[in-house]
Order: sequence, then structure tokens, then C-alpha cells
Amino acid sequence: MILAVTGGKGGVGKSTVAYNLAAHLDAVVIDGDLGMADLPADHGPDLHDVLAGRADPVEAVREGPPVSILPCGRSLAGARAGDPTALVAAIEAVERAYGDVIVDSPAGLRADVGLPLYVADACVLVTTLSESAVTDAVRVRELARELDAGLARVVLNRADDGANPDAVAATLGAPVSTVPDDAAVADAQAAGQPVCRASPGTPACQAFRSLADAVERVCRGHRP
Amino acid sequence: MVSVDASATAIDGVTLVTVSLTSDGPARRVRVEQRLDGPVWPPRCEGEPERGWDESGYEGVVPADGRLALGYATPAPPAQQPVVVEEREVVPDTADAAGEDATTVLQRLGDPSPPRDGVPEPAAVRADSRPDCDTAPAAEETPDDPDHVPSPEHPVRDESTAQTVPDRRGGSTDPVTDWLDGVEERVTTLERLDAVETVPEATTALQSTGGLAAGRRSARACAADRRRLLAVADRARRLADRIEATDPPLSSLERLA
Repeated sequence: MILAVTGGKGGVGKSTVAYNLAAHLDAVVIDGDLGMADLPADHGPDLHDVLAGRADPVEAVREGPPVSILPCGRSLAGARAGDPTALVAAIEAVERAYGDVIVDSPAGLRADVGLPLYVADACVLVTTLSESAVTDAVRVRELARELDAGLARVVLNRADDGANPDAVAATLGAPVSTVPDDAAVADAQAAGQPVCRASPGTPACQAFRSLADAVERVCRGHRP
Repeated sequence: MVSVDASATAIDGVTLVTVSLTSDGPARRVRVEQRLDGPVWPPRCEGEPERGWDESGYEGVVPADGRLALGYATPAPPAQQPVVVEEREVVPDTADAAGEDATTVLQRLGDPSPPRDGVPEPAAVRADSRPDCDTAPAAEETPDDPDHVPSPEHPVRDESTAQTVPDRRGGSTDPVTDWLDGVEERVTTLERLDAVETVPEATTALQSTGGLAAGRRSARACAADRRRLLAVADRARRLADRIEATDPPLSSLERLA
């Protein structure tokens, strides 16, 4: 299964959702933000090298625990040197080797957002309650529809107690999972861990777990 | 042959109809007609019915050996067979996602790569490739510092990073030449401003070089260029000296081999 975590607006928590979903689904997370990578990286071949034909996508995967990652380089020269369309073959190669793949997509509506949706079986749309985030999510949902990536779930991130997921569900036309505004998320990020590993039992951990369950239920039909 | 699987479910006074059409042959155009006693409320995009829908049904193509799933609403009460499907002509197959491939997605949505001018010049790129700088943004590098020029004592991991990161979009693939060309351009700007003696000349020069702010930027960039050039020249001279100092006895080595 290939799942694209996308959302249109920057800073809504796509990388956090992708990383934590990968932890629960035992999937490889690919940092698809070619220009501004977010997920932790170390030395060694990365997605820029893969797209430039200098590294094999499967060999560039850093296996977990806690989470298996194909990181992305951070240099602009690297982002320019690769062929973006090679992303499709790279994602498929990782899927063949590891089974489940989650692509952390960048903000915007350019080809680096479209290509993961093109190759994905389904997508998860991340938004916050802000009007601009929901508006951008609607745009990405349209693109996902055109590119045949079914909407598995909408994630309403950093939702406080008063947040009404029904309004977001009505706007985006899909069931919504909420992730609360919980300090445990930032703590886990600082520790370089998934939330449920760093802070088990917290509301955020429970939210990610139920999100993963929901995504798995929806996507089971896509499994080969 | 197209097989039809349709159902109608009443929810809160509205009937939702789902139709699944499966083809076990070539791609075929079909017409789906509503049989329930009421209008079709088609799926809409931006308030407009989606392509293929009209007030009495849908017309579209079932892909070869593929499936077409449809759904619409109607105020009419549900019935056992909510639609009738008429098979029409065989059409050339268009794969799903409107026959798009990765290249057409790229063309349609635009290349996400940073523009050429946004990529740091070679000195910064080279500094960026140092193993202990991998996670630091290029902007925080201090390429002005002559220490950043790789020295023989502190070799960088890959001294030819610039060459292993070729620009795939035409133009020069030699970043050193690009860098020197850039320096030359800035120096020319500065020389043009330096040569003015009268007010009209100054006005013309400033207009042709992009104004006073651009002039200031050029002056600052040239100061950094000068430091970098001297550091590179220094290293180049030391390398040349080392080449000159060596005289390997190749003919003797050949005999021994």
C-alpha cells in the first residue's frame, strides 16, 4: 500500500502525522519534501541521491526502530539535481521491498505533491481548523481525486476541545480523525520518537493509534 | 460485455444510488439512465455537474477489463433496479487518471525544483557537502570564510561534489565556470559604477545596473568574492607548487612493475 500524507498548507503537521502513522502501520516513511525536508536524516544516501540516479531507493532506506525512513537531502543543489518524475519509481521500489509506504508530501500544489498522489493508493489529508488550511486541503482533495488517490481520512490536527470535526468533515466530504493539541507531540518530536513510544497513554498517542486503525480499515482493500 | 451492479438506499428522504460497471472486454462507451421516478441529482464540482452527467443520467467510458464506479442522489423512492445501462460503441482505451503518467503530472503541475538562481554558488555548495554540515542550511554557511576552502589537511568528503551534482537543465555543467562568470558579471557592474565622473553618467550607470540598492549589493558581493578568490588562488598556487616539487621516477617504477 502506498499512502500519501498531504494537505496543501505548510505547517499543519503533515510530517508529524506521516511519521506517527508509519510507526503504527510498520511502514517506511519517505520524506517527499524535496525542497524543505522535515523528517530526521543522517549521513548517507538520501532521496536527492535516488532522484539523481546516484543511489538505489531501497538501499537509501534507514531501517527502524523506531521508524524506517527514506530521508531527503536538504541542499538546494540536491533538490535541483534530481529528476522529480523518478520519485514514482522510487516509491514503487520501496513498496515492493517493504510492503507499506507512507509519503510525507510537501505543501503546495506542484508536481512534488501530485506525483505521490499519482502513485498512491490512497491519501490522508491533514488540516488544522484555520480557514486557510481547510481551503488548501480542499484544493489538494480535488487534485487527489483527479489523480485517483482515494481519500482515506482527514486529520484535524491540533484540535482543541471546542473544535468541531463535523464542519471539517462536511467541507471535505470524508470522515475526520482529530489529533489534540498535546504537548506530548512536541516532546516526542524533540526526542526523535513516535508519540506512542515517547509518551504512551497520552491523548495524542491514542489519537494516532485510532487514526492508524481507521486508515488500515479503509485501505485494506488496496492491499495486494 | 459490461456487467452492472446497482443499488439504491433511502437515507433521510433522499435515495442514494450506486452503480458499478465492470467490463471484461475492450473499453466501451455506456449510457446509464435513471429508472426511478424522479430527477437525477448528479455529483457536482464547484456547483457544476461533473463531466458526463445530465438531468437523466450519465454517459462515459468503462475502461478495458476495468471498472467504472458511479453514484448519484435522487428524491425518488428506491427500487430494485434503479438504472438501465445501454452499451454503446467500443472506444480506444484510456487508462485511469485520464491516461496520465508521471511526466504529464509534472508538466501539468509544474516542476517543483528550486530555480537555478536559487541554488547556492559552488563555494557554498561545496561547504554544504562537508559531513559535519549536512544538516545545516546552506544559508548559515559562511562561505566568505577562507577556511571553508578545502585544504589538503582537511579534505572534504567529496571534493568534486559540484561535479557529482550536475545541473540537468542545460547551460554550463561546470559550477566553477558558473561561479567565475558570476563574479565577472558583478565586477563589471562595479567597474561601470566606478568609472562615472559626472551626474548624468552616474544616473545612466545606476539605471543600467539596477539602481543604488543593486550597486550596494554588488559591492558587498564583490568584497566576499575577493576574499574567496584570494583563498582559491592561494590554494591553487600551493597545489601548483606541490606539482612542481614532485618528480616521480616513473620509468624506474615501470621497470620494477
